[in-house]
Amino acid sequence: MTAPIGRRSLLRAAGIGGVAAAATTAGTGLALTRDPASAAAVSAAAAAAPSFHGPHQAAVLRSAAPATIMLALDVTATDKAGLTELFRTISARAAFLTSGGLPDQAGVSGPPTDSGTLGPEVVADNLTVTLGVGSSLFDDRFGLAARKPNGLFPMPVFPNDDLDQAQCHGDLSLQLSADHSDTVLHALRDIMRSVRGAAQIRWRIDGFVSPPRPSGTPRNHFGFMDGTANPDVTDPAQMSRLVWVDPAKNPAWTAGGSYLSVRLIRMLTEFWDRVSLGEQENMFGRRRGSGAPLSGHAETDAPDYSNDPTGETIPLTSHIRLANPRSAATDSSRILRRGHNYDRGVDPNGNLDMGLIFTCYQQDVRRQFETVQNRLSGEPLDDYISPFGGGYFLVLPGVSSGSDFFGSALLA
Amino acid sequence: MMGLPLSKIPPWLASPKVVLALTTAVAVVGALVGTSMHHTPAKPEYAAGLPSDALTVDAYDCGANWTSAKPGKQNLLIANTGIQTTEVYLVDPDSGAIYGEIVGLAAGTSDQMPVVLGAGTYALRCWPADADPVTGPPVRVSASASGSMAGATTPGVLPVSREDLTAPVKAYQAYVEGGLAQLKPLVQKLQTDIAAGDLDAARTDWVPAHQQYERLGGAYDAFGDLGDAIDGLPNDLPGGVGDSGFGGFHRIEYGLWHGQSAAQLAGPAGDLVASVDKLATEFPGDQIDPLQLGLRTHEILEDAVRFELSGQSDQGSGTTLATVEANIDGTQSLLGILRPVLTPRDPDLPRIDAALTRLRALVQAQHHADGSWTPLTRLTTAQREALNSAAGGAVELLAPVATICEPRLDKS
Repeated sequence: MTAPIGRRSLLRAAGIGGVAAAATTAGTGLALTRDPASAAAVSAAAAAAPSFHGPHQAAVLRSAAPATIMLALDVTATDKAGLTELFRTISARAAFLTSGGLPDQAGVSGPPTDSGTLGPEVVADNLTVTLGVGSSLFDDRFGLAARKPNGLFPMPVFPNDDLDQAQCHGDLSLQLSADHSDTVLHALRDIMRSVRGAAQIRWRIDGFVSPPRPSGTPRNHFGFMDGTANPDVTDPAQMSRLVWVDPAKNPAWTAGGSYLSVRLIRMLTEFWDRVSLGEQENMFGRRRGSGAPLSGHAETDAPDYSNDPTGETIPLTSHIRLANPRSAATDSSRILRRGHNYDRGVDPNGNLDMGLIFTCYQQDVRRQFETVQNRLSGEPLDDYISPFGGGYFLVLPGVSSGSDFFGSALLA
Repeated sequence: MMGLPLSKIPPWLASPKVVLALTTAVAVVGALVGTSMHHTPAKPEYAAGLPSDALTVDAYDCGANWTSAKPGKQNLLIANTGIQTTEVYLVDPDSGAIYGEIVGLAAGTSDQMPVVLGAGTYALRCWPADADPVTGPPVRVSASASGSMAGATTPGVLPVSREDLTAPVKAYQAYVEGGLAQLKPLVQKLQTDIAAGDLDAARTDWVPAHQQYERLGGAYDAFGDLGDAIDGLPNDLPGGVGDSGFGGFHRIEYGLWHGQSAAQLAGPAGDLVASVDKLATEFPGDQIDPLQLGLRTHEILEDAVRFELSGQSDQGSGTTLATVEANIDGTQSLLGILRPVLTPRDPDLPRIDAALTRLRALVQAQHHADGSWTPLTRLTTAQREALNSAAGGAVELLAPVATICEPRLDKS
């Protein structure tokens, strides 16, 4: 039990101090080149700072940001009015945090409204706030059961999974991404404070995207480039086909949304580091150094499967070949990956707890993520990874304007 | 001593224009003021660094150069060009409500007062050490802000004087004294049970005795060393639960629920009775700082969130929620005592009441007909989330009580 000494003066010290809030231009820091095909377009979009308001949530088509926090929340508000208030509050906080500026001021009516961790003026830092809903939200608490899309259901257990239910599922997904850790942590505290009493964090994991080493797509903890062959986010037709919900197969309130699969995957780095390079490369189907497919020279070369029907060059069981066979028949199962590395200490055996926050957007979880997952089942890479958490969510349509809010069509 | 009547100030110095111009060469002014004008020591040299665009305050000028203001979010830069430390408040000159404060602005220093101005009349009010308050000219703000300047107008709060808190302090004293009188027979009964070797009765009687103590608002060191002797935890003791310094309710709890004998508990039970007696004797003579009332109203539940709902304080009885119930009792009692002060000042008072009612209902749902309480560890995830969320919502709303009830503009 701590003494109350100096509490008042501490509060004051936190509330005051600092010189004129110099408008800080967020350095984009890392070159966001996860989607080589569209790198230029995405960089341009990032430089213009994404607007929070729009038909879609801003993060879906953006490359994975350098810093992220992925949360699952359970709603503790007890009725539809409380849920509506929760969504309105998250929308208002997100609109402010993603554009930055001077925070509101409580004066002497309460403690400071802002944590001050970004200084007197909040910097936007390319922050995105991405809200999704899980199937558990559509139970009897909020009268939404009849509005549940057929495509939204709990993540099942896949072969090789070792799921911890405390790190699975959730009424809501909330992902905060930005160029720096302090920005996402600031947003986390701001939003959770503003919704206190209405939602509780069910699980949380923090992630990062490494800088390109030395160039190209950033690497995962196994040393391989991860995310090379994503769909082209600058192609609206492809996005309508692969990412945005299909209006013909979903309730009208979902229009502009996208299904999100989250998989928390531990990567057994100690074991991996005891595997020969050749075996590592055969498991992925790519060169570790260059990221090139084993049939090519450069990362961006398309793997050549047609001249390699028996897998002599790129093994049939390799990760890239199973995940994306690049055939007409499998094209509709492609997913838009937005993964982050995570690193969170050590397990009870003293081994490193590192891995991947796998996230992907898609039009249809069964047709896409689950189809890919099932093709990968039993791949050699399975021995070096252990999925332990995650969930399925529907990332809501965007917030159209300052008077709109997340889920307004769902709650109308 | 300081604070010459305005009429004695030479007109050329009283002009805001001149004061503003002179701040740019403030060291010179300091010398002038110090030697030829007021027969007071020269200003310290660091005054030379004061920003030239600041609103200036000294013993007889409080922002005389503040003549117009824009609506919306802004940082008022205020420089103390006088020779005494001063409190600076932003007030509504008609009602006296306070919008902002800079506590202890030292001579020759400047600071920012962040505020969101709405339509209304504002003025700076200064209170230098050893002088009377001075109020600057009224500044009218019309229209409301737009764009990035727009925000929630900082609410004004009527200052609380020490006199306002005299009756509440007396009521609080009576509450604690009455509560200690009720506690004495309960701990004596516990001691009698143990002396008689009836540990079943002791386990039954431990709960209401501990609850009665927890009602008194002894959170966060309010009762000093005696508080630790009565209700301390073993966490910071080198020997943990086996440490000879571990005493009080939780020491007895540990023994009663870990198979210790009556003989092992006789000493701690006697010590507990003695500590409660000592507190009951000493407390009436203690001076209570009026500032403490608001702090305790907030912090009883902060203590519950940190030590109870985390499961940290439970030494085996599994009665954490009984403790939380008592903490709610204490919070509501203090809130009742402060209600006359809060009603005109805290528009969230009804929300505080509702939050405490909600929390109480969730806690009492775990109190069973046979008198037992569900241990935290037996709660479902949803139950625990609901409790944590309700408690979090309550402390968030209670935090402003401490800020609002801090005496201001009152040096009595």
